[in-house]
Amino acid sequence: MPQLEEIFQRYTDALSKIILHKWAEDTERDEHGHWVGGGGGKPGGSGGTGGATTGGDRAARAKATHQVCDKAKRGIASASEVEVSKALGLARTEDNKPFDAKGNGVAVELKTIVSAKNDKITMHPESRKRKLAEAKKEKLRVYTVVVDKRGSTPAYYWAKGVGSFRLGGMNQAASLAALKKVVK
Amino acid sequence: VSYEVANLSKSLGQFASGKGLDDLAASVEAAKGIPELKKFIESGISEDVPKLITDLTTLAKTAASDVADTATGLATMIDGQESVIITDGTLADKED
Repeated sequence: MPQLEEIFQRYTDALSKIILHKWAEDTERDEHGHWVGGGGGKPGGSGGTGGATTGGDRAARAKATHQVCDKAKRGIASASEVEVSKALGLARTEDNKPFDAKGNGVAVELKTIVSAKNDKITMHPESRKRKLAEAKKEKLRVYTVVVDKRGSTPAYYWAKGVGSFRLGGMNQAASLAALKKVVK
Repeated sequence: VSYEVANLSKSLGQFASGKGLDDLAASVEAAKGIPELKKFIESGISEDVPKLITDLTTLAKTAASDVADTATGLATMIDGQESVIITDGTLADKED
């Protein structure tokens, strides 16, 4: 009964994917903060510090996973953050405050993509909880704004809420002036 | 940009707002005798976490209160790690 075997195999494969799939806190969300798409978790993915590695290996592995923010990248991101905060009429926050910019009942998480190949931004689950707790406590309207600086001119994206987003799932604003009209 | 600190495989959490890290970096640049922290701020990577924690603790003793809070919080988060990096929540490679 080859057909029956094939059906059974498909069923078990699908079931395995469901069981192994992780709907983690930091998977991609829509503008309402709901999980979207196929989820971002990988079976057996994050966690731990791995096996024995040399110093060079460790740095290479870390770089392979994350965009490492050196001084040059931070400079670009800071300039972007200053520009966007000013355009939106918000103040940049200090220390380790949950949001990057706040004012007039609005809180914004700002991200600048400088050189990443990926069109996705992520957020640590605890960081997201802190932001949402502050938003609830202070009755803030919360937005995520991404400035994509990989092209010849910056592109601006925005979404309500905070979390992990793909640029394709966010709204694009034609300019900073246009961004100010929606992030309010 | 909310900056997070990560080990080899995962983020350990947010340690500074964009301005928070700018302020920390400015204090580090002005300070002396904290080479591992200077290297970490410059390159975004540290492979000597115990030294980095020592430098953060040293900075926290003399820095302004906001910066001292950031330094102390970061030292607590990275305690026990082998290597750490500064990341902004954007990913290095295509996932799919």
